[in-house]
Amino acid sequence: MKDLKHLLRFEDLLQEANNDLVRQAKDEGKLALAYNCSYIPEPLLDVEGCFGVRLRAPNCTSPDMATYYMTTRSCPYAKSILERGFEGGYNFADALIGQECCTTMNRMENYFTYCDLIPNEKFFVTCVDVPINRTQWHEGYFERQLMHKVLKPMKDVYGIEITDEKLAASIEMHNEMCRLISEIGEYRKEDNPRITGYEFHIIQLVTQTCPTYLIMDMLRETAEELKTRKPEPKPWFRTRVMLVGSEVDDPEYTKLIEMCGAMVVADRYCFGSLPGREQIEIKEGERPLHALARHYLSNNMCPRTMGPRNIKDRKIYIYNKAVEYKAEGIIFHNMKFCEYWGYERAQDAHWLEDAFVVPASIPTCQVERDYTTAAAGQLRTRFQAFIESLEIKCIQDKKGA
Amino acid sequence: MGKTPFKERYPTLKSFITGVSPNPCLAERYIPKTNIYDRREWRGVVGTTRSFFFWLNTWRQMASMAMASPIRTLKGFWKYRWLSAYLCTPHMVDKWTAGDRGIVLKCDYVAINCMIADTVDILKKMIKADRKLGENKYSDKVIPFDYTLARHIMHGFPDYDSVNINQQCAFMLPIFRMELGAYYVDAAVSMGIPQDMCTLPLVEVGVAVDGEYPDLGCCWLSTNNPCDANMMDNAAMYRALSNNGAKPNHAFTSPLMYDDPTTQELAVYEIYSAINFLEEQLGVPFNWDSFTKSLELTNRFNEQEVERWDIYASSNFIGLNGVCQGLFRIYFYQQGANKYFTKASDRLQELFIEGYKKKINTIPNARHRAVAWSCGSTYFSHGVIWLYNCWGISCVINMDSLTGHHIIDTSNRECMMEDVADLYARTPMRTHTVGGNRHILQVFETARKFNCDMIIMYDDIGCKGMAGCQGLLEEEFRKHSDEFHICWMPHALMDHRTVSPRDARAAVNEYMYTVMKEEPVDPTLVDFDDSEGW
Amino acid sequence: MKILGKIAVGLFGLLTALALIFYYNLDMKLMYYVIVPFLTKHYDSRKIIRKL
Repeated sequence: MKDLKHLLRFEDLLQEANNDLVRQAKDEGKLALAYNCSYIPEPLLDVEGCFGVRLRAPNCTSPDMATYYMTTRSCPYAKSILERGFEGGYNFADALIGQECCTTMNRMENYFTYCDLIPNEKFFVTCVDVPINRTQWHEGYFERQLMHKVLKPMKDVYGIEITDEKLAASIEMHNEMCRLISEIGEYRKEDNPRITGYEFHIIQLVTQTCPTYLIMDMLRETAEELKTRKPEPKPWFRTRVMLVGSEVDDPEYTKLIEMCGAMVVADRYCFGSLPGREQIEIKEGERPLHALARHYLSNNMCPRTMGPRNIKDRKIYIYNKAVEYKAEGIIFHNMKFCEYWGYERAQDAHWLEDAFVVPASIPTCQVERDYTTAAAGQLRTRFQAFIESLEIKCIQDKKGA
Repeated sequence: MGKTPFKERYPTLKSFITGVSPNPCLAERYIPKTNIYDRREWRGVVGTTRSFFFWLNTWRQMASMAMASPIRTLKGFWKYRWLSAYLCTPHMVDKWTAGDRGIVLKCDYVAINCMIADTVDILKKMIKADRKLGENKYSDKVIPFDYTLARHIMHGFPDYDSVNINQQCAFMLPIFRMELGAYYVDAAVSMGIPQDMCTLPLVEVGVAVDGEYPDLGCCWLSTNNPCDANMMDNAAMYRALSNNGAKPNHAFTSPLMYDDPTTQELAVYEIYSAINFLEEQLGVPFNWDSFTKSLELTNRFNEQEVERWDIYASSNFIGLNGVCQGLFRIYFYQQGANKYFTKASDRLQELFIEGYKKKINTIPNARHRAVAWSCGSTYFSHGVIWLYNCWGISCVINMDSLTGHHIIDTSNRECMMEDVADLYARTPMRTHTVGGNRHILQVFETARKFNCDMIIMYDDIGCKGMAGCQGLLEEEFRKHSDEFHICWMPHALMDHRTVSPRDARAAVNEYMYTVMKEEPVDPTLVDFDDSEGW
Repeated sequence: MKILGKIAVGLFGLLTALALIFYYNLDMKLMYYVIVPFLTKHYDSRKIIRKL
């Protein structure tokens, strides 16, 4: 397939958190609002005068300082972010919009204050309490939390007034970005897709780590380019898989899977687009902030939500997306030491294999991974074995049919 | 038994009669390679007689449990591996009272008897109600709660019972027999859950995957307390506890940043939400009078408890040893002020006041007063007793005791519910470990309040919340090193294979020899092999 | 009186026996060497279909 025009540029932008576009936005006088969690509403951080940056720590292989503070038994994603913070990789940040969804992430965010990592007197860390249950009342609560923990400190510290009009404009820009990403993502459903999982992963990551207003033109051009892009003469992959789990902010991980012969057709993980790139609807008479709270609370498939409906909905969502994207198998993964996904991965795999609450069984593979693809050899072996088993199953199904 | 001659252990007649020995040599009493007594402790004439009758009473209570439903109990023992742990109750008592004499023995027996009586009551209910042992009308009347979810709101449904289902079926097991914790950890891990997870949720899930939870109630309540791992184990146990989705479940959650005023409305809302759920499922309205009365009893208990803590802080009358103090408090937090805890607290109050007035020194061998911080283990819960008996480190208070003791204002409903919300948020293993670093750092203020010169820092190697603040703690400890001696004591909460009691002792021994340069009070306890024990 | 005497002797004997069981920890030794291994063998021999 012909290379996408902006892919190299996108790959380059992902090499560091303080990339060209972040620097450009800072030079234009905008405030950089860093965040880690998919519960934090992106449009809230992308209002006029600000831009959101989801933190990554590319190529962080030895988080030694972070390990001192958080031990070898903590999530390597959180530690890598902390390590990059020690290295000065986030010195551009004006605030860290944190949460107490995940204890380890919260500990990491607290270290930004405790260790005084950012050389900016006005830098602050805020901690949003995201409710675990989901009802209309909880949407209102989440909205109030965003007011207390984001809008208020932004006004008090930086004098930034986040009005309904600014939010509505930011949501509009966000919706356009979502529309473009979703359009691009739809190509993965094709029998012979014109985009690889790796390419899509790159594009999706760029939308989270770069100022949205600076990438819109490139996104539009990419979407346009894809309309006429011709795929390979025949599918380059042997099977189609869905990737489900915790953080995957390293596109090399997707590349590793695809080099083993499976195309990653659907991305249901933190940093993924499923969910995450649905357009936000502001209902009649609804304040934009409430729309954000409602959307980010109810659209999230984080395993943190409790109750039978949420537990089942997560599995059903995975199943439905697997069917929609014609995935033949699902790779469940969790970041090492991730408590949420350690349990969720095991349960999801069992329920989908046993066809419990879902209409039919889907083959699954479970892996644990580190933040970087350091153990690529072992992972490759696991993926290759899984892909072969899917091929064999496909052949047997055809024979049976 | 015993290398130490009788005359060295009891050089005078008085020491034999009182049981107070200059050379207790406790470890010589164990069957080799275990922590099970070959001969039970001689506590003097009065103390041993008291122990004997307490032992008789323990067996009587266990027998009463069996006699309440003998066939169902037998079936239960045949069916549930976890139930066999309770046959070892006298051994647990032995571990929890090692070295106790005089009024401390009295107090510890009051607390332990309360816990045994309460547990027997709960087991009777579970056995009677368990549909797996035979359907009956009582089955719908006993509502399961997650282990760390206090059952106070059930006092508003006086015609119904409730149990913290994971407490008796999971949490308590390594306290009786440590290998049971390991078994259920393996069961959970065999289903793909990573072994590096906190072992308490792993054991809870292990019981679930083996299908060994009793089938109780018409619904059940889960929680996000105390931590992320426990939140996830509730999801992992969903199939088992809900009978594959047949039984309704409600997640009764509380905010992690519990002392942030902006989260209070959520905390209160969740209580009302849980009450509404129960009203719908049980088909009866919530009885506010009954609920308020139970809270008033809880207040009374807490007022007494705080007075006892004042006594700990201001004297050497440490009436309850470290393990009894901690477990008594945790049990009370779950159950509320039921008849057992109310009676026990009243009796303890009498004994404490008597001991305080008489200026009784219950820790004559103490060289250090310590606060035990962070979550302790179950299989080595008696580690605090070992600390005193071996090294003279008296743990006068522990972190998990300092939970749920705020007085609830019952004068108006709004205040009452805010206070109840606070009670629900401040569970054991949570109050100090979530919601911001300032909570875990309360250790120094607490140590000062209780006049401690030492901090025993439990290091649960599976706890991600505590792993995340390790560096913070090291730095803060360094800043306070002139004020306190700080000793880390590792453990793996429920799995003795990862950090055995011997390993934990070795860590403390090293600290005491090399840093404190002290000699042990009882050298036989320094290092001994209890790998095949319970 | 003879009957009372016999009851007293019987009770004394019973109490002594119990005291010996208590002091020599015979109850827990029975558990450790006999009952628990027997029950554990039974539990280990069951076929369990584990579900998550």
